[in-house]
Amino acid sequence: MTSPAARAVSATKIYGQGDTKVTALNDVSVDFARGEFTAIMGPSGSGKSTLMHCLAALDDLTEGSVYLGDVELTGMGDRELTELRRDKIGFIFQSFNLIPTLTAKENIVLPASIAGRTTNKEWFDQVIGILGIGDRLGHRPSEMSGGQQQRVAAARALASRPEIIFGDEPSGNLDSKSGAELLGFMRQAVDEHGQTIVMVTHDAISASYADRIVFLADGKIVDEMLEPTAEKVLDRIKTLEA
Amino acid sequence: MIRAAIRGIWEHKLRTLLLVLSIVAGVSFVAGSLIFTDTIGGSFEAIFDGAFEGIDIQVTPDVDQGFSSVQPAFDASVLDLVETTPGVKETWPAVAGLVNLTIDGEPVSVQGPPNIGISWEGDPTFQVLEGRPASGPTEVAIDTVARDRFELSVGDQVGLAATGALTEYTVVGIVNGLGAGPGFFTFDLATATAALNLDGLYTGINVSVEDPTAIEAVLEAISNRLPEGVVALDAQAAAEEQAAVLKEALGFFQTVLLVFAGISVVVGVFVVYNAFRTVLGQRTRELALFRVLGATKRQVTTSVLVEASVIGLLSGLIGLAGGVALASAAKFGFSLFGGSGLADGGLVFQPSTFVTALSVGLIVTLVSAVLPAIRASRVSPMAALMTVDKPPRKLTKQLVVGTLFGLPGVVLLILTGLDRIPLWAGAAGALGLLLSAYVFGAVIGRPFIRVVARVLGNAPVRKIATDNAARSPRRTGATAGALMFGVALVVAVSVIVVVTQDTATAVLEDAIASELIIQSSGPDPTAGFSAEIVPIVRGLDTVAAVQTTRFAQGSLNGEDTFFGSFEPETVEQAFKFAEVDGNWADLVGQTVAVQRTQAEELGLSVGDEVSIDLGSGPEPWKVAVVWDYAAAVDDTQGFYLPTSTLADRFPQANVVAAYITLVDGVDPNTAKVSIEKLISADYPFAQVTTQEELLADLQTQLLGLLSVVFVLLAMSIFIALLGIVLILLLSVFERTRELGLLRAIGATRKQVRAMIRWEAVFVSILGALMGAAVGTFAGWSLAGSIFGEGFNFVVPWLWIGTGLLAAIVAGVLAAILPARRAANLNILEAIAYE
Ligand SMILES: Nc1ncnc2c1ncn2[C@@H]1O[C@H](COP(=O)(O)OP(=O)(O)OP(=O)(O)O)[C@@H](O)[C@H]1O
Ligand SMILES: [Mg+2]
Repeated sequence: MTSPAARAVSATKIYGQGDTKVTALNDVSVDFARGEFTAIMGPSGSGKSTLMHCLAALDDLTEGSVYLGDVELTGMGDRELTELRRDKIGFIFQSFNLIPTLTAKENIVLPASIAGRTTNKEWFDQVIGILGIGDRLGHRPSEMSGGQQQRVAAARALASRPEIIFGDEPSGNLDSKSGAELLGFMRQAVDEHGQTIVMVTHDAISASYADRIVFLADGKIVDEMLEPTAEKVLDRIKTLEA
Repeated sequence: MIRAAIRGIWEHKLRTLLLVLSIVAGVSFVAGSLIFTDTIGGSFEAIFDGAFEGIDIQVTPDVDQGFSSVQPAFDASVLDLVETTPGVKETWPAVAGLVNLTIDGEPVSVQGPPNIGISWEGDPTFQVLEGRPASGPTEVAIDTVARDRFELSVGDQVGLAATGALTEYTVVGIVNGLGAGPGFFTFDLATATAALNLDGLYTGINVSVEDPTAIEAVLEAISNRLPEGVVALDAQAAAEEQAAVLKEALGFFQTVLLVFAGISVVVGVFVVYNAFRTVLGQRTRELALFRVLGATKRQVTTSVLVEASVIGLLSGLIGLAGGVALASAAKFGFSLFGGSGLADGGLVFQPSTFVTALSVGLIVTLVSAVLPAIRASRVSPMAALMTVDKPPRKLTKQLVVGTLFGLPGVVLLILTGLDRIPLWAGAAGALGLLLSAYVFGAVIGRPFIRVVARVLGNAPVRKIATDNAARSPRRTGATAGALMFGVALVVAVSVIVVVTQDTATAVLEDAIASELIIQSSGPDPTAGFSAEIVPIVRGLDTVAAVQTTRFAQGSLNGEDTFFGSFEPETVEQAFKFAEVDGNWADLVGQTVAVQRTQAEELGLSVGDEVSIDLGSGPEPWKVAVVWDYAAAVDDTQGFYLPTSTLADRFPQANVVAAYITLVDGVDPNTAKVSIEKLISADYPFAQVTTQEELLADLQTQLLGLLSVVFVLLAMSIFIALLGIVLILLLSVFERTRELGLLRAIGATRKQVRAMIRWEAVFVSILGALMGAAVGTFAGWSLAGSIFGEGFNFVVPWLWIGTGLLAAIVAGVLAAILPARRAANLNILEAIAYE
C-alpha cells in the first residue's frame, strides 16, 4: 500500500469573522487508507460534515491541505475540482440523492454520462446485483422507497469505480432494516472490491460496520478506534461526552 | 399577511423587475397613444379655429376626392352664376392641382402627403405671415407646412411641375398652413391656370356674403343655380370637415399604436399569469403554513393581490415614462408623414392619461393574478406537511378548452381564406386559434419536446433539459404560448408580403409585355407625369409602341370606383391577354373595357350599357371589351376607359403610367438611358424603369413596410422572452437541490449552463413552431380574403426559417441570466436547500 486514498494535513476551517467566528476544523490531520471503511463520529457541530466536504472537494480549507491520492486539492480551480468529483469520488448524501426526472438506471450512470463515458457493463451488472435493485432500474425516484433510493445512490457511487466514496449519514433517514442492508452492501464493496469508503454517522451500530472510527469534537480529532463493535463505540461515546 | 406580501416583492427584486417589465410595454403603448393624440389633437383645433376667416361659402366639384388623384374642375361660366346671386359680396375663383417639386435640381420624392399647387391672389383663403403673395410666372408663395417640410425660406428657388415641364420659381412669401397634410404652393391665377392646364376651368370658388346672418339663404340661392356636379358648402362646415379628414389620418396612427398596445398587453397578461401561477405553485407550502397558522382563504388571496397591485402600479408608472418616449417617437413619425407645425408644442399630458396608464398596469396584473390567487387560497393546510411532488395533473381541461376555441377558429379561417366571409370574422377565427394553440401548448409541449430531443440525440445534459422542459407541461406551454403570439403575427404578415410579391411578379411577367414602364417618382404616384413626354418617346426609332394610362375617380352604376385607361391602338403590344370579347378598336368615345371577374360579378357582357359618373352627372357608357390578363391576376381596377376620352374630360390630369414596347432586339437598359437623356431635365418626375427594377422597388417597399411591423411586433416577442427568463429563473430556484446534486457528482458549470440553455431553446422552438403554424394558416386565410379565391399561396419558408433561427438565438439569450444563476449556485448551500 503506497499513499493513502485521502489525507488531510493540518486542516483548519473557519467560518465567519470576529464575533461570529466559528472554528469548524481546528488543525486536523488524518489519513484514510485504501480499501478501508472509515466512520467519522462526533457530537453535533463537531465538524464531521465540514471535514467530509473539504475532503470531497466540495469546500475549501482556510488553512492546511487536503490530498486525494497524491493530488493536492488546495488551489485547484472549480473546473478541476468538478472533474475530480466526477471521476474520482462517489457520494451518498443523507437524502435527495437522485435527480427526480431520471430513472434509477439513468441516475446510476449519470456521472459517467456527464463525463461522456459509458459505464462498464459487467461492473454495472455486478453492482446492481450486489444492491439488488435490478427490477427497479426503469423506475423514477418518486416510485421508490427511501431504502431503494439510497441503494440506487450507493449504486451510482460504486458504478464509476471511484477512488473513494463519501457518505454523510447515508442511512440516517432509513429504518433500521433498510439501514442495515445498505451498510451491509457498503461493507461488501470494501471487502470484495477493495473500495475505499468514508462515512459520517451518529449511530453506533452503523459505525460498527466500519474498519476504523475517527472521533471528532470541537473541530479536533480526539480519538480513534479500530475494529469497532457497537458496544465498544457506545462506551467510547459515553466517556467522550463525560 | 400584507407585510409578508410586500417583503416578498422586496426579497425577489429580480422577479419583480421582470414582472414589471412584462407589463410596461403594453402600458407604454396605451399611454403613448393617448399622449400623442392629445398633443396633435390640441394643435389641430387651434389651427382650424382661424381657418377660412372672411370666407362664408365655398363652391366645389361634387366629388369626394380628398387631395390626391385628379382634381376635378368645373366650367368657368359657373363664376357668373355665383357672382350674380343676390346677397353675394365678393367671389374668388381658384384652380388647384397636384404638383411635384425639385430642390436644387433634385426631385423631392419622399413618401407622404402630396403637394398642392393652387392659385391665390391675396384673398382670405390664406394669410401672409412673411413676404407677399406671388405674382407673375416665376413666383410662388408657400404655406408653413411646405416651408417646414422642405426647409424653404423666402428667397429660395424651387422647381415645380404640374402638367408641363419643370419650371423654376422663387419663393416670395410664406402663408399660414393647416399644420398637417399636403403642403400648398400658391401662384397667381394666370400662372396656376397655365401650369395646371385648367384654361377655362375652376376647381373652386370662395364666396363672401353681404349679410353674415343670411349665409344659409345665400347658400341655397347659389345651390339652386349650380349645374350638376358642382356644390356650394358652408365654409366653416367645410373647414371642420377638412379638419376631420386630417384627424382621421391621425386616427390611423392612434389605431396602429392601440393595436400594438393590445398585442403587448395580451402577451403581458399571459406572461404575468404564468409567472404568478408558477410562483404560487412553488409557494404552496409557505401558503399552507399561513393557513395552518390560522390565515383565512381571504387573507391568502388578499396577500397575492396586494403583491400584484404593487407590481401593477410600478408598471403603470414606468409605462407612463415609456409612453412619453413613444409619443415623442410617434410625433416625429407623424411629422415625417406630413404633420409639421403640430410638432412645435410640447407633449400634452392630461391627468386622464395618468389615471389610464396606472389603471391599465393595475388591471393587467390583477387580471393575471386573480386566478392563481384563488387557486392558492384553496391550498389545504395539509399541504404544508407534504413534501412529495404532486403527480402531474391530467390535461383533459386543456384539451376541451383548446378544442372549444380551436375548432370554430379553424372553420372561420378556412371560410375567410376561401373568401366566403368578411375579414373580421377571420380575425376572430385567428384569435380563437391563437388562444386554442396557447392552451394546447400544454398538451403538445411534452411530446413535441421529446421528439425534438430525439432528433437532437440524448446527450446526458440535454436529456435532463428535455425532462425539465417536459416536467410542467402547463408552465412550458404557457411560456412558449406567449412567444407564439408575436411569431404568428410576424409569419402572417410575411405570408401577405410574400404573396403580394409573388402576385406582382406574375403581373409583370405574365401580364405586361412592355420592356419599360414610366411612372411618377413623386410622393403621390397618382400625380403622374406630363403627357408632353409621350410624343417625345414615340419619336424614338427604338420604340415600337407606347401605351399610356390615366386615372379618374367616379362611379359605375352608382358604386364609387377608380377608372384606368387603355389606348386601343397599342394595348395589345403593351399587355398580354388571355381571352378578349369584343374588339379593342371599339374602345373609343364613351365606352368601357371591363375585366372578366368584374364583368361576371356585375353580369356584364360586350354591348351592355352601364351608367358612369365622372363628376358631372351619370351618363350612359357602352361595354366595348371584356378581357382577361394572361396571368391569374385579380386587378382591383377592373374598369378601363379610352385614354383619349379621359384626356379630353380631364385636361388637368397627368399620365399615370406609360408602357413602352421596344423594337425587337433593343436592350431595355440602353433604351432606358436614351429615353432618360431626352426627358429627365424637363420632366424629372417621369421615372423610367425596367421590369426588374420595378420588382426590386416593390420588394424594397414591402421590406420597408415589413420592417416597421416587425419592429413593433418585436416588442411582444421581447415580452415573451422576458417570460422565458422569468420562468427559467423560477425553475432554477425550484430545482436548487437538484442543481447542487448535479454539481456535486461532477457536472461542470458549463454543463449546467448548457442544460438551462437547452431548456430555453426547447421552449422557444416550441413557441416559434406553434407561431409559424398558426401564422401561416392565418396568413393563408388573410391572403385569400385580400387577393380573392384562387390566389397563388406561397409559404414564407425563408421567413419561417429565419424566425426559427431567431427563436433559437432568443432562447439562448433568455437563458443567459438563469443559466448563470444556476451555474454559480454554491453547491453545499444548494444541497442543504429546503
Ligand atoms: N456555512 C457555515 N457558516 C457558518 N458556520 C458553519 C457553516 N457550516 C457549518 N458551520 C459551523 O461549523 C461547525 C461544524 O459544522 P458541521 O456541519 O461540520 O458539524 P457536524 O459535525 O456535521 O454536525 P451535525 O452532526 O449536526 O451534522 C458548526 O458549529 C456549524 O455551526
Ligand atoms: Mg453534519
